[in-house]
Amino acid sequence: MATIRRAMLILGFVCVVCVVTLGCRQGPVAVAQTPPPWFEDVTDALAVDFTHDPGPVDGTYFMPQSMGSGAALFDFDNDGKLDIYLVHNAGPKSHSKNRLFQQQPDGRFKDVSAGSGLDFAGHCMGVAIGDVNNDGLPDVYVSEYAGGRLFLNRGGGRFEEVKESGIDKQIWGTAVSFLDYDRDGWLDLVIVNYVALDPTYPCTTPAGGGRDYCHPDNFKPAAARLYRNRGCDKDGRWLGFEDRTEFAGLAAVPGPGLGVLCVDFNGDGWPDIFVANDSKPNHLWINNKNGKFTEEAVLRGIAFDTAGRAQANMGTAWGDIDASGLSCVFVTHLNNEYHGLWKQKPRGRFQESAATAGLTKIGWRGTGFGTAFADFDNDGALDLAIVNGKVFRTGAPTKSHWDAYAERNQVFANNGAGVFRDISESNPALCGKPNVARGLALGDLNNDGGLDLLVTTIGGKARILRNVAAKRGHWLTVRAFDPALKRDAIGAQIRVSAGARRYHGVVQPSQSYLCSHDPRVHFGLGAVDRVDGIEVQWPDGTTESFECPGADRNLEVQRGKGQLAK
Amino acid sequence: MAKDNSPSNPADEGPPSRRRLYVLLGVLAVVAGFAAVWWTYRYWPATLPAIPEIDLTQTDAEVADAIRTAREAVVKSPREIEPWARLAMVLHAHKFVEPAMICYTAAAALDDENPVWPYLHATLLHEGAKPVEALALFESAGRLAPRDSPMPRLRHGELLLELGRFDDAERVFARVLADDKHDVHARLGLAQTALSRSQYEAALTHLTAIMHQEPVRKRTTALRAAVLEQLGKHEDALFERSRYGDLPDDPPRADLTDQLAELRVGLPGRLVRAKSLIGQSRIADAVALMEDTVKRYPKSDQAWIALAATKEAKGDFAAAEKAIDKSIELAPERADHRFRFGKLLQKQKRFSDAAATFRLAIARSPADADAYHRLGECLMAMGDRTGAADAFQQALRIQPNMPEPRKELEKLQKTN
Repeated sequence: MATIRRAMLILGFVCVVCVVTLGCRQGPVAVAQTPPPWFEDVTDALAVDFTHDPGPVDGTYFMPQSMGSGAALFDFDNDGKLDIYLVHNAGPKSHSKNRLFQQQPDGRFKDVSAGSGLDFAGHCMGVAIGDVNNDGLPDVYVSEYAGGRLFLNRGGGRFEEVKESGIDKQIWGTAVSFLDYDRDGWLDLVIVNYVALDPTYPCTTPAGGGRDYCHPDNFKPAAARLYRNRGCDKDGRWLGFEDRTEFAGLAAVPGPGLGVLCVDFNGDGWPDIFVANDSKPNHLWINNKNGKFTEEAVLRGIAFDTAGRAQANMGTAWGDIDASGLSCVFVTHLNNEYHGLWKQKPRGRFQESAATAGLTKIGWRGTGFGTAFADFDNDGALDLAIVNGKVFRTGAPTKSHWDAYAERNQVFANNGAGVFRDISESNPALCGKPNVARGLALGDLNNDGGLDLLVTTIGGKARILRNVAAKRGHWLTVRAFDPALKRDAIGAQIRVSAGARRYHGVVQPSQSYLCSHDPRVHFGLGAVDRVDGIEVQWPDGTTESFECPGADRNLEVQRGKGQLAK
Repeated sequence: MAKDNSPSNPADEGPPSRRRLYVLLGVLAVVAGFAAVWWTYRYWPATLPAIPEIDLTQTDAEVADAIRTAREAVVKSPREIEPWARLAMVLHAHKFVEPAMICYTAAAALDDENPVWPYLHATLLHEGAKPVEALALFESAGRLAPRDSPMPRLRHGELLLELGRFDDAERVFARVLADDKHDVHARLGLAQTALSRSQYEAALTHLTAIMHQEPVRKRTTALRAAVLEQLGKHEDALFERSRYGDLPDDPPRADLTDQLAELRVGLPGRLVRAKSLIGQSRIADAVALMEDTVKRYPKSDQAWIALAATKEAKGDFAAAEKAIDKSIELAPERADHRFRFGKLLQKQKRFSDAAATFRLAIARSPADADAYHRLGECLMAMGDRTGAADAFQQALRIQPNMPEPRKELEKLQKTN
């Protein structure tokens, strides 16, 4: 009471001083200007009409509903324009079938789902894109609760499900990623699993009055599974996958996985596997180069926060945020935690650094799922987008079931030194309206050098946010293509020299949460309008240098057409 | 203008003693005025928030009763601390967050020397994703708390650290450590501060000082492994990593919020208490509590299954079976009730019945590795080796790291 009273007296004094000071001031009072927005919602303008179906709101609080579904941005018809694949989570008996949207020459999208083969219903979660049979056409794997399906792209907008692919039905497949872990030129597959759900187990709010979605701690965690691509036989027939989970060592330590990141974590040129575990320590499976992996997250400082606590790890992003030449890992968490940013220094060792990056100082926190590092204003520094939505109900009951879980999204600008500033307020198209967002896919839909976003929500519309950032800097987008394999070189590392800077990127579309990004690697170059050189380290470890005719272009670098490094 | 011939003021002309009296009265009046101003400043009743209206429509009857009773006490005595504090804590215990915060504000206004109210309010704000608002309240609680109650200061320091205010956090942890050089959480806070600044040698010194302290042993070991690796001491890091894997989880840190558990009522509160009583081997109390609970919540399958657990703990298998039957009757779709029933039957060596029950559990929850494993055990006992092997394999397919079905499979293979 006394404290408040004293504070009131001081406040009153301050008010008087302010009134007097302002009263004496000449001219208008300066008002802080809102920076121009980076995004505008073009969903309707581009004719993408997709409302996610999470299944019936029938009081059962079926847990997979609350985990949402992802999406993919990929060029299924190889016309140079990104297309969109969006999935539902309403179960196999639902009438809500997944949808494939093909980009038309005018930039609008056409629903080409019917007859594509991808128009099926299921408890669909994640999407991964990769050409598994090296025929030049990107294939699709969709992870599901109690399922999972692989589709081969047969061309002409037709996809064929492979029933005998060698990939088992998953317990609860979530994040999924292609990688070539044995460097044999065939894309292998990691499927992260969440928990061994008992769908009949009821969870309630702490007040005991109402049902709610369960916490993963109620169930045993499941193991991530690794499938090796067997390649083709001598007649060119693709042989499918084989389960190498146990041999590789991944079965030894299960975890409630939601996110995945398959890149080279220790700088040896071989892809490793990072699994973001919900409320349990993260796993970092280091590739032993003999088909086996060793779990080293604790050792490398990426299992926990600085207090040695596990957090609710969900979506993932990978990028060099401070031009150090070393990428860091960002992982989204619940709103009563803070998101994890593990900076790499030295190579292969990590230190949680969200606070020094300014990511904990914000006054409001959301429950983050999809996320991406991307240079939205092409100033040469990777910015950060996070889409949010709660997993547990709080507060009074809402009219609509999903409104109780809605939160607004967030976007942060990087100052170039790896310190972020929340600029959500100036981006109402992305961050203004609360949603129950889950997936965030990144890509340059109109090939104009500005990275656009696709946001998926539970029970809501998928939204496309076009990049309209004013005064964007120069840029370069690189597609790393291997003509011998007829596909994008997933796992290739790209280094771009421009001006006095060196930029780093990796071809790994499976990031964020349940999503697949544009496989091309985008670089914002700021004021530098020329590119001095491009170096590509291909997934097999060989390195080639390429010349670049200039900035502000979409460039394809083809393996074998550059200059081999010694 | 007429001249004023009226007598002059007696005080001006009166005797000196009278003048002194008037001066004294004047001084007293001034003092009384100051005293009145001071009293008003110090003791004038605080402005309290309105008593919150609470929607209890979807709330457990017992919880609703507890909240209603606590609220009525506030209505009856709106300027007393006890009812406000009680209502705040009852609401907090049952996660009625917004009204609980209002009540903590009132409690703090009426009892401004008590660190508990700003502390509990701050924990709600922190859990509610409002760290910046929580900071001031943790600081206030820390200032009010006695030196031998470091928790508010520790939470303040930890939040400062979280917000990137490393110097301030370091000062807070150092002060706690100055008061108690054995405070492991303050030491861990200093280690975290050093880690956040990438000062690995300093972090290692702090971590080493507390590496064998039970409250933080596992966390400290994990952090030591990472720090040693950062310092290039790979062999030591590997040793710590392997030690980490063998350690049990650290116990939860005692906190002021623990007392809220005592206030939890309703079915969830009763279930937690029964579990706690069984844990303390107070089986008779647990049975009595759950017998009362099934009378109060006769349609709750959870109440009946909890009663079964207490009866089983007492060794009364027949009564336990009866209670599980009732829970299955009330919730026939639930796999976990069937699983528990199967376990009870297996315990009584009724393997055929148990196997059938585990199959029913699996039909409802196909990813239950434990049910497959126990089904395998029952089939083994019944002599069905093929069926058992299949069940163990299914368990391993779901949980490939489960040691028990792997051992059973190996045994089966050896005896084939």
